[in-house]
Amino acid sequence: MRPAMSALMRPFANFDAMRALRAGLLVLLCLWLVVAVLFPLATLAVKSLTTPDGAFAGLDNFIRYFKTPALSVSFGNSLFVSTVTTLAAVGLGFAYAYALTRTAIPAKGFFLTVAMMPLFAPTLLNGIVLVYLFGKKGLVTTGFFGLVPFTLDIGLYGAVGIVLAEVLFVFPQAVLILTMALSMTDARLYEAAYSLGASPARTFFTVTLPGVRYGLVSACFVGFILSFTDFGAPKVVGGFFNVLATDIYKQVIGQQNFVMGATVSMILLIPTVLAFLADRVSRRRQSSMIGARSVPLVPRPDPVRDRPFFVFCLLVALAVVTFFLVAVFASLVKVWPYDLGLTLAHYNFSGMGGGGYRAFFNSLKMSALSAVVGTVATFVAAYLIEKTPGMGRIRQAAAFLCIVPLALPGLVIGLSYIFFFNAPSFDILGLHVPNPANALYATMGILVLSNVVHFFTVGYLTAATALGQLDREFESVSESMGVPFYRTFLRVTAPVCLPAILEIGLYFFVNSMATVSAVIFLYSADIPLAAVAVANMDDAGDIAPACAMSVLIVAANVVVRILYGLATSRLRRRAQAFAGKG
Amino acid sequence: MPQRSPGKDEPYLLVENVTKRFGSFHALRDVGLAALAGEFVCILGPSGCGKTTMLRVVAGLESHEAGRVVLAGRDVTGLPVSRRNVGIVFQSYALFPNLTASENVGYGLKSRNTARGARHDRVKELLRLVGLTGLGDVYPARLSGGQQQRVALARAMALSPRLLLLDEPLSALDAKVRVMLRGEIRALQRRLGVTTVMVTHDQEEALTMADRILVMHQGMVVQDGSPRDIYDAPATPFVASFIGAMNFISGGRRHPDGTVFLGSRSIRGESGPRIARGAEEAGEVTLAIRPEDVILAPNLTDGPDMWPGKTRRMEFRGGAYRVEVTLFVGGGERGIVADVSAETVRRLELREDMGLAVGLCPDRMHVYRAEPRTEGA
Repeated sequence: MRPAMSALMRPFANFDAMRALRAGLLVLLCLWLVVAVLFPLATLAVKSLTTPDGAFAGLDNFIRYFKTPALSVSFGNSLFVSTVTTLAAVGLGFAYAYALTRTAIPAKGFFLTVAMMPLFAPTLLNGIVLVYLFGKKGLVTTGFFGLVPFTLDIGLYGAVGIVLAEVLFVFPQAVLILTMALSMTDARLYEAAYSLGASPARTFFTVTLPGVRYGLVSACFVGFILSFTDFGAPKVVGGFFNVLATDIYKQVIGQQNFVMGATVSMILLIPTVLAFLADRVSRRRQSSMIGARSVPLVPRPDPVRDRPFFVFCLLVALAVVTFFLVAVFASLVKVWPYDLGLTLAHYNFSGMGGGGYRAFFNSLKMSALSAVVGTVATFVAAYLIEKTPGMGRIRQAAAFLCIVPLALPGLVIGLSYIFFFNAPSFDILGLHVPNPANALYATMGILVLSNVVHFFTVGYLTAATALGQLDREFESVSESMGVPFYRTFLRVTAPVCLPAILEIGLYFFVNSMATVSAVIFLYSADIPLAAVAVANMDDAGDIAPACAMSVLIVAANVVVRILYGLATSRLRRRAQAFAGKG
Repeated sequence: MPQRSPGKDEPYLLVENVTKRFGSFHALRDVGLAALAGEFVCILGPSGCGKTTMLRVVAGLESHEAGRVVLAGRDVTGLPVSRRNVGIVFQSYALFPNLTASENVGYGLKSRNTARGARHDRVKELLRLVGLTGLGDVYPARLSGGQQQRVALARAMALSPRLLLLDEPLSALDAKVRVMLRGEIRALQRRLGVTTVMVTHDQEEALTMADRILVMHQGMVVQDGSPRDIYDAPATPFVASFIGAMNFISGGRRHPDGTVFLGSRSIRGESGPRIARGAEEAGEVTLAIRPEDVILAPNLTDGPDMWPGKTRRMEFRGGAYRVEVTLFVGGGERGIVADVSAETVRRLELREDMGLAVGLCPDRMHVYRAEPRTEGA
């Protein structure tokens, strides 16, 4: 450097372009999360505190809500069904997860796969199949169309139907969380209990249960959130039993009462956020319980224990499989229950509302885009947060913002997005500020964005876990060699994390295909969506085509899941080449 | 900026008055370090003493509140690691798992736009240098721990760094491999003449490898000297007990005339005991002597440095014994240990609980100011 230059450049002599770039990206991430998550949420909150004319109303809307019995009854209803659902699903899930982790039953892989099946379906389908089984003309209600001498009417529409549908919806999540909790244990604890002469029952209550208590708590909160905020199942089988989620929809779509819709959304949000916070706390405790030197527990065969568990798993798996077989069967039957001949007519969708195949292909496109954008966004976010040196405060803020979307029900995201993106401008303290985000309204962009935000946290956490397992010094090594961080990111970090990246992509795709709650407020007539079409056809009484569309959604998800399986098994073979176990 | 090559006695690496805090925790308090060109310096200390932080400050991976780092005559304080031209070997090696040994070694060369052929030759040369010829196409996970460590070393040397930094490079290895690699790293470092700073908590590693050792404790440098200096003249009781073993005998006194007394007897000898800094003034002192300097003799052997004693437990250590001895000093007792050869044990027919004479040679003794807490080795 020439002397003249060096005097000029001195303030920048220690300037590190790479660090500055990373810091800039981190700030950008925070800004994006603020705009995509906090701003819409704030708009929603403001809406719930104003009159329809836009004047400040204080808590009037909330007072009116709780003073109107027709409205406030939903709050109790929602609490009731989600509590019952949670208890049932976590109970079943625990027994199932216990069988998968602590017994020596055969076919564990099969059982786990079957248990995960409901994740591929929109919850609308859970309701629709229940209608085919237990509705007025249902398979069971009519005694298998009179083939068996008895009939059974369970009074499907209402609390019963909602709980049944939600249990099916929550069950896979409960199984996931609880298998995780149950497989993280130290075999030596059991050896110690055994050597001290503890009975199996005593061991269960003193070792097993305490070991998974945080997992159980977490499963309960997640189950509660899922069933409390779900919209699909109550929409189909709720009947006159109102819950918060359907109320929001009715207020907004039915009565165009956006203010009350916002108010009910806030009421839906509060218990959800509380449950979410409780879940975060219990998860943190769970992760601090396992020591690094734990010895994994390998269950030994024990027929007295294994046989009942095997039968139980078989029954549950049978129920899930039956459920999907009924869905496929119902979508193929000519006129249920009068003409049981098979036809593909319901897969035609012509003359139906909802958009037919155009909706289906839109959904595929939207889900693929959501998968790509969501995976890149979550992985880069996790990378910046996990691997940027220093910048403690900003990283903490970013990490917090990445967790927030998990607490937001889809309906809340959808509704807040309407308010935020539909507004041509904002009046802030008398200032008229045009809204640039308005350009996204009624485009594919807003649908993808809502999905990316809706499912952001799980993707982020998966990426953060994978990145956390990498050597902390990769970045330092590259830096010491003067290699820019993005080159190491592309050449080492991302390739090594490829299994996690694929998993995130699958998660975004499957959920974007199946979700209705956020997008039902955001789709436009030009861009119909499959899951929304299911809701609309069901609304119009076209249950068979609704069922057929749901089957297509499940099929698309199953295909993508199989592709994912093939890709990961190839990856695993390649990883074994690295690890030398091949 | 013109690069001045430092003079012969001018340090090649100079770290001055560095202070570093993590929140309220003082990781480094005003520490310094100087290394001549080609010197091998070890930073030695127990875990949490700040030695790794010190290395990271030298590397430029960690910012610091005060002080400066000068490398090859150029102030690099505040420069990022990418512009300091240092090679680093981390404790975990941090080898990229999806790249072969060659790709790992050549990783930094690629970004320097080195010509392909030259890069290839350089990688080959480096692998040969660390004794891994023929293993270039192997992924790290298929290499043994020792081989991985060599790949990391080759990678750190690839860009011909001005300074090589080793962060506990041997701690993840088996004892035998560790001993072998100690020699190899040192030989390689001598051959390349690269100035090296290594962090370790293993005193034997530091004593065998280093030209100079910096002992750190609680974020401060407590002693800086050659391995011999550190062992023979430990500056503080901490250094004395951290490097090698040391007996501390409490209850000594230093008189105003400078004479040191234990009980009623004065400790003299030809050169006398070594008086550590802080113990110059008269008052309570603690005497210290290494177990191998304690002499055991038949009971009632007379002499100016002989003390009555009694054996307690004897620990067999192969070629030698460690003998616990009770020393009778004035009216009291002091427990010390002595390392004696198997031959001595045979000659004296040593048994447990046997009376004997214990020789504490004043020339081999150290005198520290008495501290509230003193303990035997």
